[in-house]
Amino acid sequence: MTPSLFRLIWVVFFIMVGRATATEALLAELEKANQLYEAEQYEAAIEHYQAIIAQGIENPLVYYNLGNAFFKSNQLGNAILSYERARRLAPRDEDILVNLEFTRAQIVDRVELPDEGFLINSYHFLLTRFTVNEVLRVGYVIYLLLILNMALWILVRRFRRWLVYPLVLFFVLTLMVGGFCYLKIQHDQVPTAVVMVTQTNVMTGPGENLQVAFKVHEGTILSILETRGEWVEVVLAGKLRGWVKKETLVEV
Amino acid sequence: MRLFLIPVMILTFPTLKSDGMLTTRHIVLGLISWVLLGILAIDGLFSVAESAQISQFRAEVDRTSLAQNETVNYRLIIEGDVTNVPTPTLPPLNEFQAYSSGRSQNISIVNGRIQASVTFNYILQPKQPGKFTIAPATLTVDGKTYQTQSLTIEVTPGRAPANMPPQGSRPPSSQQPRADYFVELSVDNDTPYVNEMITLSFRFYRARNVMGGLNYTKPKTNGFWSQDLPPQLDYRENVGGKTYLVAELRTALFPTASGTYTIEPATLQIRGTFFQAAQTLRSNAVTVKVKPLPTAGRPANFSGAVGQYRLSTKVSQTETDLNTPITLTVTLSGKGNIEMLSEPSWPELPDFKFYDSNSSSNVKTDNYVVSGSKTYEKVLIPKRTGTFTIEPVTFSYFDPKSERYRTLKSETYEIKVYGAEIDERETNLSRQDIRLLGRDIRHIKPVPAVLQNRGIWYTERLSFWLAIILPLGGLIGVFGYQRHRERLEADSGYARSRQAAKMAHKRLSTAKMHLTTHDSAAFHAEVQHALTHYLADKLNVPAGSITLDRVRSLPSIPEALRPTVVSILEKCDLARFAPVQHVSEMSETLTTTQKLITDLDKTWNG
Repeated sequence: MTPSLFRLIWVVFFIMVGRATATEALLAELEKANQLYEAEQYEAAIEHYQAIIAQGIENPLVYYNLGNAFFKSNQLGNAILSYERARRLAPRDEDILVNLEFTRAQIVDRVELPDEGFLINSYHFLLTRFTVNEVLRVGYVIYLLLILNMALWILVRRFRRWLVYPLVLFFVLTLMVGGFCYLKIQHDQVPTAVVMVTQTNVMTGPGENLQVAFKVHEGTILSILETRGEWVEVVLAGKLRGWVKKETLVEV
Repeated sequence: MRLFLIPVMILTFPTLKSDGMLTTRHIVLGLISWVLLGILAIDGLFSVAESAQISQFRAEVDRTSLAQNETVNYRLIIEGDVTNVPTPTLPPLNEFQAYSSGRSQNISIVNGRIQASVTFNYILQPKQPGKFTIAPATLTVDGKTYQTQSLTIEVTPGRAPANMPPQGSRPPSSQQPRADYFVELSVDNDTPYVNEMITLSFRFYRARNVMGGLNYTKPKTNGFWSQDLPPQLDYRENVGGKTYLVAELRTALFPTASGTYTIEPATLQIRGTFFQAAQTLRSNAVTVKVKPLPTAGRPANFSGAVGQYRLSTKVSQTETDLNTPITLTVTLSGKGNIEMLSEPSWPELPDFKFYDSNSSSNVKTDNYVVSGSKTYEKVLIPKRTGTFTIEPVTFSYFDPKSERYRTLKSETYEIKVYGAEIDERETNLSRQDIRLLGRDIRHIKPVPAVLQNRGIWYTERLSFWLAIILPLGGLIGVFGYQRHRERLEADSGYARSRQAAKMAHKRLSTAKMHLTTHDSAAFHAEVQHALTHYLADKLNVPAGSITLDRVRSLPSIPEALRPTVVSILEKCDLARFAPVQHVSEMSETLTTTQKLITDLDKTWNG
């Protein structure tokens, strides 16, 4: 019994702490990039930030600073892309949210998300305010509590009558959080993309000669539904659908 | 009475909602004013029912002495109920030429009393010099006759020097007969202060009708800011015994700097027709000496305004919260060069963000005087919560009439600012607004101690799935452990079987003690005991039932180990009668037994 509990704790500890951490060289690179930004050499700063990301480090801080550098060099599409990536990794960071909103106020397209009532709105709030890992962590803790509860239920016959209530509670909670984890992963797996060109036509189908459904401008965020060769089917704010050339977009 | 009350009520209504905010105070004031007006209206109805009341009927002239070629305004003023008054009867005016110049009506409310008056205007032109008395005018309303007082007017021969500029190429002379057409340029004040309004009058005198078209060239007014004063004045004037029709064009001039300026002559071209030859009329030039404004007593915040002004201020609200701006509106109104007015001096406002003003001006030229108002709007955004005082706005100007500087001061306002978080995300500002407020993105973040890679989801890792499965495995383990515990309690055979080997080894260690003391009998008894009890526990039978004969035939004992069991038990039986002396033999028995029990345990437990 004891060794298996030990291993369990070790595994949990590994999940919480055992993340890949950057080496000193990457920190030096970040320091250099920040110095270039402070010296208003935004283009050079962008290169250094991108070098860190190229090493496989996905960190909200790097994306945030990169977004700032893009904003300062007036590349609004790239700025929004970087802020969006930062937001995915740290969805409640106020600086990221403020700068993203600020940059989105400067682009051509105004996209208003429809108000769908309290329940749907708070569901969207939950979906967008937490990362997949955070949701999984909460779900895991509840799952562990359920397992512990079940173990107690098995071992201590005297308490079984009272243990039924937390057992049912944790069981329902586990189902709910598990379901939410599933939905959250589904939600985050739908790729979104940012328009990178000044203006592009969204066609009614995958072809140059078809009708133009609407036009989008740099910095607008689209959800990708399907990819077919050169073309991707996109949806704007859950309402407008159309096909757009792949090269005009970059996935978040 | 009833009729004019309607516009009065309409006029008072906007005070109810003048700044768009309907406070209790406004509603109460509005209701009170409406009730008062209602009482007045009823009062008016009754008075109409009684009789039309004329409270006063009087005559006025704008001057009592004038030159022969000038005119005098003669006014008959009727006060009281003026809804249906007839035109008064003029006295005989043999010494004058009289022209009617229309009637005007005036309604005013003073201390809640409504006063209405009608004025009949006449222009009188003396025919000859002398002292004349204008007899009373009469008015008959509903059979009642009212009379004005009589007035005395002195007419001097020739032109009054004040209205007669001495310069000019052709000084008009009252005594000489003049041409049929001539033009004249004059100013009402040729020594004004800088920025004081003067009136430039261009007069066209004609004794005969003009058949052809007219082409007027304005005089050049370099050094002045000018404003036309419509409409054209038309009147008759007697010059040198000839009656001329005069058309007068007035222009307001504001000198921009001190010094001597000459207004170049204006010209009027009369185009030729079949009956008349073309003619160009040239006026005189006018010289104006502009005085500088006195330096004595000049306020520090004086910025060049000349005239007569009033200052009024208004704030949009006196209670606000942190992200709601307040508008401070300052209105300067009066006579003078309204367009060119500079901003008043704004107070120091350290507790507010202070945004650029929006100014609008409204210029009127009623009665040939440039007047109007200029409004400045400032937007104040509170920086912090609390109660703050807005110090008065001040404005200084020079009054040329009294030749003194005056400073106007507005009210002081108390502003209460309540707390509210400023949510920058919610404000949806347009691009221009953002520039105005000087907002920018938030600054970059500094280098952290560690740079974590947060891009990998737990579901992409094997350790996560292990961490999911391991507790489940643990749970199965707990379940098995609990089942074992329950069987120990409920199933004695199971318990005996589980404990058998342990017990046997315990007894064998006791046997080992006897071995050291060379007690052969006790040793063999203990070994026999251990083995038979072990077998009995394992097979869940009474210990006494395990005999040598039974062991030989018992099917549950594995065949491979049966000879060993039999030989040990036989050895023990023999030793009871013939003790074994050799220690090596006994220790061999012990190890064999130990090995046997371990082997049996292995066979039975799988």
